[in-house]
Amino acid sequence: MTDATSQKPLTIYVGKGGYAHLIVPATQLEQVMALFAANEVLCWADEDLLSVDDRPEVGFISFSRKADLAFAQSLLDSIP
Amino acid sequence: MPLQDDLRALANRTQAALDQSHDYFTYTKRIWRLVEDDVREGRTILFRNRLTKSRMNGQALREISDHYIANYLTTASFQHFVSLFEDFFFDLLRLWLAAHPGSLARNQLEFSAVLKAADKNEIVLAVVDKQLNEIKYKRVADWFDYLNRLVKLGCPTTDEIEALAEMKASRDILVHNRGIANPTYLAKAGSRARCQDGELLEVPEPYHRQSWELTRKMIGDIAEAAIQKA
Repeated sequence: MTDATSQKPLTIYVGKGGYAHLIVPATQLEQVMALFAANEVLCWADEDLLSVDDRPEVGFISFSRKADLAFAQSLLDSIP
Repeated sequence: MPLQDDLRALANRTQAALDQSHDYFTYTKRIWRLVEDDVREGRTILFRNRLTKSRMNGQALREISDHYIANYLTTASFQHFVSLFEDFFFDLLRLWLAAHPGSLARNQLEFSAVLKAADKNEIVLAVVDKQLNEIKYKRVADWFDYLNRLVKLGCPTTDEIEALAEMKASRDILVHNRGIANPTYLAKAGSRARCQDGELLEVPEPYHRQSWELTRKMIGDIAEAAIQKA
């Protein structure tokens, strides 16, 4: 799935300890959350959106430690 | 009436503290999100500790951000919510019992405590505090049974009490068992248990928000009902 703003692939960021997040344009947040919910990916979206220097708003999705991140990424990659 | 005023002040103070706690969580998380977004956008960030000479750049901060948010920020603020409720509940009981000490008529106190007391009020408070210490270590349901024996408030609901019991059980696991659920958690949480024995007990943000909302509601409901009866 492509980031509608940057045109780059939406990619889950995995940090220290296996904690992960995904930054998504606000316009695509609902679609991504619906995709994850339909496939039972354990995650949740931040309550608020972020916009810096008047750039388009982005949302943050955090993943449970129990989430299958590879599966979640494959779901994103499966959508053009 | 002094008791009503004290109860109202207690509720207002606690709810204000809850709001501040949630604000701290929210705005601190936003700062971490700002860092994550800045690094993703290609900005260069570098912190240098002048004392230790250590350095932390944006990439390193991004790597630890989710870990810090989940493991420290969210869990610490959640624990604070539970502590605030406990303080409120037992402060309310203390106020109520100090104003209506009749139910403690059969309680016993060491004579040394009587000799130390400056006046009758201090003696009453010594008996009250002793009674509250005995209740504090019981189950959450027992807390409310005790309160209802003193004064029938008509709240909170059984569902709310069970939800609070699970919150407290989660807090205990975070504090005493490194966040790993055990049989004690399962026993205290009952049908509300959120994971199995041996599993990591997380505090996802929806649960964190629901816990804050429940705590705030229960404080308001209990205080208002007690004020009506005072």
